Amino acid sequence: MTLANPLGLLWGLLSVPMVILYLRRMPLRRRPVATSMIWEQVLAGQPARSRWQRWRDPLSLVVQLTILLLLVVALAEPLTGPRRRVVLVVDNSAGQEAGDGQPTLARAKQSAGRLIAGLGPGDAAVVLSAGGAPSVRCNLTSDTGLLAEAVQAISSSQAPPQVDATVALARQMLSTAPGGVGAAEDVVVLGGSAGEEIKDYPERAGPPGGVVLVGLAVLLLAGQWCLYQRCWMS
Amino acid sequence: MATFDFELLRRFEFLSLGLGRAGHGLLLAGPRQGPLGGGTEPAGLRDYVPGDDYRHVDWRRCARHDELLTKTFAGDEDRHVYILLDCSPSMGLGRPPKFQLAREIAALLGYLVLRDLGRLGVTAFSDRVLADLPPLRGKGRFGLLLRFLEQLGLEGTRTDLRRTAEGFVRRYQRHGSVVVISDLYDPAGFQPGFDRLRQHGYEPRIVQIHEPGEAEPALLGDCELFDVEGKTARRVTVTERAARRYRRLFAEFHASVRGYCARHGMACVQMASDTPQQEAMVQIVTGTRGR
Repeated sequence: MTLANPLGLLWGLLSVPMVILYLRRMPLRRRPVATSMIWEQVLAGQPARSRWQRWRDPLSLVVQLTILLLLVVALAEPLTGPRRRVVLVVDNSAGQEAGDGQPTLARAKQSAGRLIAGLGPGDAAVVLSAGGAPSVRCNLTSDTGLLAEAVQAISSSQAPPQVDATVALARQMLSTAPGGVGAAEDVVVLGGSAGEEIKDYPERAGPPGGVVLVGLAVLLLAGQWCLYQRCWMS
Repeated sequence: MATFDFELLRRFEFLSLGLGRAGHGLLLAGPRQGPLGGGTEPAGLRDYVPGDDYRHVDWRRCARHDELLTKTFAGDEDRHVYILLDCSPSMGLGRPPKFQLAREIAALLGYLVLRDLGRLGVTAFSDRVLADLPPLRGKGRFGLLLRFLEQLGLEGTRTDLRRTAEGFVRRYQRHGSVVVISDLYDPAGFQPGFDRLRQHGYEPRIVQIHEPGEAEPALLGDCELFDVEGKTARRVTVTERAARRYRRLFAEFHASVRGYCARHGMACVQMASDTPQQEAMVQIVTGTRGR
């Protein structure tokens, strides 16, 4: 599992004051009573409180720390499944502006835009054009804005297509880029005869991991409240 | 300290008129069948009850009937009423404090006694006898009673009814009714003190005052209980179960006071310190239990 926001783990430092506050002797409310003779009977057998007897219910602290852990992990935005690294090869060679109706290049740009919009957090893509000599339009990045701008900036070229060389260049880029271990790689060629239309790039299935963790934290919080209620009632 | 005002006196007079001269309520009711040792003229016999003076047991009839009988006497004497007012620190709790209501009750009872030309003595106590007001007679001495009550404060360490009773019976030789106004939180139990009074021929009556928070404590969770009389603190965790048990034991304590009074034919009035003044006065003169 990778984290989209590793700095979010710093929130885990909150556990330190949490433990300190738990161990600290809290000032008790002083309640004057007219006589202790009835309370003596009521509390017979119940030991007086001491500093370490707070530990008689350590489950409370464990639950609180678990809640904090879940929230911290949620803030770090864990990514379920492998990250994806996508190579977008846009064929802008001569002839892509030809044809009836909407030019092929324009349709390829639209498809690329949908693909970029479907990238999830942590996914990265690189944009290349295959008209003439292979050209890197945008380096490997997760910034979908940059990727979209790079795609829109691609203009038609008068050179013949060199799709195979471009794909080879792309694979070379991916192999030398850092952080590629375990990532799923896709090469998508848009335009020309290779891909007139592509399907929308599939988004990740299920809710984001952070939502699940926050839900668990809320459930634990409710459980702890019930635990306290049970303690007071017993 | 403006504890008593004209409004209170007006209410006393109103209640006094309402009662008429014939009735005094249970607290100030006349002595039971002949005050033991109060007079010299034989009035009859009755069953022996614990606390009766052995000198008044009719041993000849006991031998004949094989049961203990006590001689009773009647005689003309002034009616003596003594008020024992608890001034222990526990009486300072409550809003208003129990002590305030206790003094108002003492003033009312004193007014009713003085109005009927009885003799009234007041003794302030806590763990011992703190102050005495010698027996007064006549309505005109009511001002002295008020001044005495106003100058009283909370003193001593705790309630000690037995020691107080022993000190009291040594001071007064004339028997009569003894109205004890207290919360009765005596660690040694309230019974020994009243037993001692009865054994010396007095007729004790009880006005027990408690704070509402004592009957229904708003305590839950971690807290430190501070005994204002014992000056001790204890850190406890009060659970719902412990609070329920406390309420039950408190009710049993009050029931034990009523049971003791019922066994010994003593009048008993129990009330909370936040009882409205007028309602409290009515309870006192009618002898009803209250809340």
